[in-house]
This record gives sequence, C-alpha cells and structure tokens, in this order.
Amino acid sequence: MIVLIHDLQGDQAERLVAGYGKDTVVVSDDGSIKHCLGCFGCWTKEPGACIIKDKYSSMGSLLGACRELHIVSECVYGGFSPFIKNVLDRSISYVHPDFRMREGKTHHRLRYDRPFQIYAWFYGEALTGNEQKTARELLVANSINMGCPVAEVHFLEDVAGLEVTV
Amino acid sequence: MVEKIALVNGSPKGEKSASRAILSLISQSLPEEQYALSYFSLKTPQVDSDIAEQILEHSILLIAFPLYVDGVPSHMLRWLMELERTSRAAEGEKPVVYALINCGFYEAEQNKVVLEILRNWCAKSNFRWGQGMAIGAGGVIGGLQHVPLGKWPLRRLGQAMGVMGESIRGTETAPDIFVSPDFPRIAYKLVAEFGWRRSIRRNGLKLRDLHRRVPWAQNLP
Repeated sequence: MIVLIHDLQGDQAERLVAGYGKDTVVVSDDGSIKHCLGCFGCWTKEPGACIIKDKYSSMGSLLGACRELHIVSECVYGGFSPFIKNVLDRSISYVHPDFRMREGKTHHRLRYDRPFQIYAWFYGEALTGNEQKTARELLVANSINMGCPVAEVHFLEDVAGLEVTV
Repeated sequence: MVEKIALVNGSPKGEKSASRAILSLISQSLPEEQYALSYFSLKTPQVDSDIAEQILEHSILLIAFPLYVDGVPSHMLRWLMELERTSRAAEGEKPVVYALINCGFYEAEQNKVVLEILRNWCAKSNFRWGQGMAIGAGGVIGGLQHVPLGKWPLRRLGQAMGVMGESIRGTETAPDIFVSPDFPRIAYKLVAEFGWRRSIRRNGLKLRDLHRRVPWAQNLP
C-alpha cells in the first residue's frame, strides 16, 4: 500500500491523486484535522492510536501498514506545511515510547516490523538554498526516527508541474 | 529605558508545560527594572492577528516550544506564519529572536534542524536571529521547579541560561547552545521507560499493551 499525504486543494489535488492507483490511501486536508496536544495517550491510553477522535486518529497504524509514504508539501521555512506537519504530529503512535540507540543517538523503538520508503516533493516559490538544505536534513532526521529510508526528495518551484505516476 | 520582551510559549500544554518552566528560568536573567516581560501562550492553531501584532510590538522575542517530529508543533507553525505575515505588512523596527527548544530525546543535538527552521523563519520575516538553546531530556524540567537553577540536575541548564541571559541583555547574535542533561543517558532511559509502564497501568491496561500493533482498518478523507 502507498500512503499519499498532500496539502493540495481543488484541481491540483485531483491531478495529483489521478496518478495513483487503487493501492493508495490518500490523506488530504478537509479542514477538520485537530492538532496534537502532546498528551501521549497514543502510547499509554490507546497504544497505537491517537485518542483525539477525528478522521486522522489512525495515522500510526496506517503507516505501519504501508510500503511507501509519499508526501507532497509546501516547503515552509525548510519544513513541512502546517497540515502535513499536523498529520505527522498525529502519527507518533507509529513508534513505541521506549528508547533505542540508532545512529549513535536515542530514538523511539519501532512498533511495527516493516519499514516503508519515504518519497517527498516540496514545492514553493523562491525557496532559498538554506530552506532546501534544512528540508533535506529534516527528512534525514524523520527517516532515522521512523526507521525508514528516504528514497527520493524533490523540490519544485511550481506545483502545477508535479506529475507522479505510480 | 525599559526594554519590552515577549515570552512566547508554543506548547499546547500551556501553563503545565516544560516550555513555560523554561521561560520562567530565562526570565530570572532579566531584571524587572530593565525589562518589561509579557507572556503569550499560543496553545491552539486558531491564529489571531491582534495577538500577532501585540507580540511584534516587543523588541525581543523569547520563543519556547517542544520539539515535535523533528520540527515545530503544527499549531505553532501556523502562528509563525501569521507572525511572518504581520511583520511583512508592517514597517519599523523588527524584533530580535531567541529560541529555547526542548526535546524528549536525551541529546540536545536533536533540536538542530528545528533551530535551522527558526532561522529560515527569521530570514523570511525580517527578524534578526539572536540565539538558540537546544535542551535534551526536556520533559523532566517541568517536574524540577523546586530545584534552584544551577544546582543538580539543573546545573548545565543554569550555565546555559546564564550565557543566553547575557546575549539577550546585550541583544547580541551568538552561537547556539546545546544543553545535555546532568544525568547519564541510561538513567534517563530507565526512568522514562518506567514512567510509561506506570502510566499504562494507571490507565487500566496491561504492560503488554504498550507494544500493541494496531491493524489499519479505517477510511481517511
């Protein structure tokens, strides 16, 4: 399964999603997502699921079931856009609260056995060299924390030029 | 002249957060006869342009928040974008920014990327970057408010607060400070993992539930 998380709207969203097959779960912004409260209920009250009940409460188990994670995000200060970041903040039940050493630092133990590959498309006008550098470093940090390799990172001036065919 | 400083807490836990405690600690370096401190708690993603304008009336911003997934908590990111918009729409003096970021990991270096994100935000918003403080094992700080700053286990944090306090008082731009905990990594790991097990039992679950793998079976939008 491929999980596509994107922050596009309208025609742009439709064009993007059209390139994906039936084996894809699309996570998009319908304006209803709630923000992470930092309560750790996804580790100690309902382990594996976010206790905030909206359409995004199963992100951890969804990531646990996928083989590829595709992220299409506006690049904001070298990071993800607020919606994409919100989805990722609500996904920490993908990992286990215990600590393990990876690459010389403490990271969370992995809850699921099968890692997925990360593909990222960052878009935005006039992205600076620093922002692109930060975004690459962010993906490396995410990759170590989630125990998943980064397969591809792309930067686009104009999201209209984005075509993904899976 | 009294300098106006905004203490901006970007933790969704507000008053009960480590970020609130950290802002209180750095405030100890800022004598009240010279500095007027205003506190802003940005707990939700509902941005308010009036509050953004009030924050930007201060010449120094001290921003504290917890590291979420290697970055800025999403609700706080919305506030950073609102502050950028407000800054771009207004003329006049721009503030100097000092950031104090704490993470749940032991190593303070894991906050390095978020400090870069904040630098990029400053560049876009025409703010001057002052200094960043990256704090490891930040979760313990909220529970140590009875410990005097500078005493174990707030010895290194106390030293770092002293260094940043000097930078703020001089409105200087200075290298980032990475504050490792006073206690060994293994002690932190053991205490944290004991804490998760105590919580899960208090919530009426079994220890094995901590390792639960949830099959995915829900339609998303």
